[in-house]
Amino acid sequence: MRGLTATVGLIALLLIYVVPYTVLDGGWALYLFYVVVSLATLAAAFIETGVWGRGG
Amino acid sequence: MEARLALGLLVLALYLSLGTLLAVLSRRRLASLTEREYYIAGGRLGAFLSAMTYAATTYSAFMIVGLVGFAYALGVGSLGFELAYFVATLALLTAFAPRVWRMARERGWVTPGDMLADLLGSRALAILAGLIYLVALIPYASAQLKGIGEAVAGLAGGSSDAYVYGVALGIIVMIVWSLVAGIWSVAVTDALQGLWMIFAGTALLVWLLGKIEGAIGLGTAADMLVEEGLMSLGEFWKFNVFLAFTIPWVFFAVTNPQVVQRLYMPRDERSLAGMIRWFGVFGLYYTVLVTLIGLLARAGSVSGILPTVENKDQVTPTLLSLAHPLLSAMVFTSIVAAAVSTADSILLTLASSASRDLSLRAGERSVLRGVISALLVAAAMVAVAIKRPLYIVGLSVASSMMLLPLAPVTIAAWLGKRPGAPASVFSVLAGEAILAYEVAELMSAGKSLKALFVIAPWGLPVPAWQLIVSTVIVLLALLLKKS
Repeated sequence: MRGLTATVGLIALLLIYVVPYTVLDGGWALYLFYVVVSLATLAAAFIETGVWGRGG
Repeated sequence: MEARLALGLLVLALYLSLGTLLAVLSRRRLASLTEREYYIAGGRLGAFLSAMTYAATTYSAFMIVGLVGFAYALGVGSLGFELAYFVATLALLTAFAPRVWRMARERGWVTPGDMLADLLGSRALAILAGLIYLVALIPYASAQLKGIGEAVAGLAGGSSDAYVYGVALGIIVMIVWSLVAGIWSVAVTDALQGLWMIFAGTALLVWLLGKIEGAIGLGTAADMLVEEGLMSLGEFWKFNVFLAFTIPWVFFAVTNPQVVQRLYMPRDERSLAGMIRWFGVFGLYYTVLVTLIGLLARAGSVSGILPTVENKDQVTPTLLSLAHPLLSAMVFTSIVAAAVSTADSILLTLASSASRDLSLRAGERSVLRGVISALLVAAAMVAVAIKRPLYIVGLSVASSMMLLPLAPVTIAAWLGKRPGAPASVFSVLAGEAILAYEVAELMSAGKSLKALFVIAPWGLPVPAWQLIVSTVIVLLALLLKKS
């Protein structure tokens, strides 16, 4: 579990820098893309920190 | 107009009274007048207060004024810029916060300067960092104060007297809320301010959604935004510009002392985990909220429901002039709340840094010295906000770049690496020198410092060069030590 958010966050950051300039040309798909990668990072943070303070 | 002004001031007065009451009541939580208790709550903050003070300190009036305007004028790239900060911060917090939190308790850190001096074995670095914090953050905090002055002046129809009253009111609130019980009063009022920001922002979005849906329908508005090119990166968000905006913000959680200090405050690991989780929920919701407000306002302008706004900083004030007076008063108060919550946290952090990191003898450190430092910092903020020199906006914009060179040494320290005192200091100075050179170039050419975000010397933006040079120096020092 350790490092999950850092991994997902780094991939999300990389995608934020690359995808809008290469794959997605705009439209609401781009808006959703930003929201989805952020949600994925937030979900990873919930999973990873869920065990903190419980010996995890 | 007069009714709108009266209601705005009434809601603000009620809000400030409630905040002051909470600040005074929070004195009961202040166990003793030690620096550790006054600046970092003795490491006893629960998850809720930790999360709210982290979020309210991070998200300034830039969000509901600046980012709304950015989304209105520059489209979806504004969301990408702000969410790049968001995902990077969550990644950095989960990777490093537990280690920093544990070491802060074990080693008795109070300021980020304590941490740098301890981990990197360099008092000089702590002093240098303390000076950078002052130079970078006083203009930034002054810009928040200026924002309050302008909000009050705007409510009073642009009166310059009202601007001065607004600045005076702002600084009094910041001083009282930050000094009456130190971080306890800051954290408790930050919780109120954060909740108010969320509530008022949501109400503004709901009002705007209703207005757009009733007039043209949300589907038509969405299509309009695509046709206007607002849903693509467009001319403004060229790759280098996006890099220049995002690089300093990606490292915000590492370089800004007011948020680094907040890692010392949670009472246990579960509270630290709660802080990260609920900061994440707050941050994502608030970012999506304010960018949607900006985009919907633009759709309203394109369709003729709302007036066209030429100056992007005037988008929110324009919306406030059209909304119901009560909604307008709530959002106006939320702008003041966002500015106060950011600036009073900075004020207290700068006070702790000035009185500890810049104090040559440990015996001279005390809360009293911190209070005196806070009053001096507050006086500097007022002087800058009242004089409104042309460079205040530029300096405030450049503040994130001034702090950026602290990132490589801080991350090295958090990873347990010690590049050595001279290399650490040199790494930070080299990053600052690059910025100073580019600032001097722009000023000698008579250009605004805002151009720092669009110039790309030798093909890369200024923050990229700062980061590369500072990082290379740290890595070289580590390699040399190894060999």
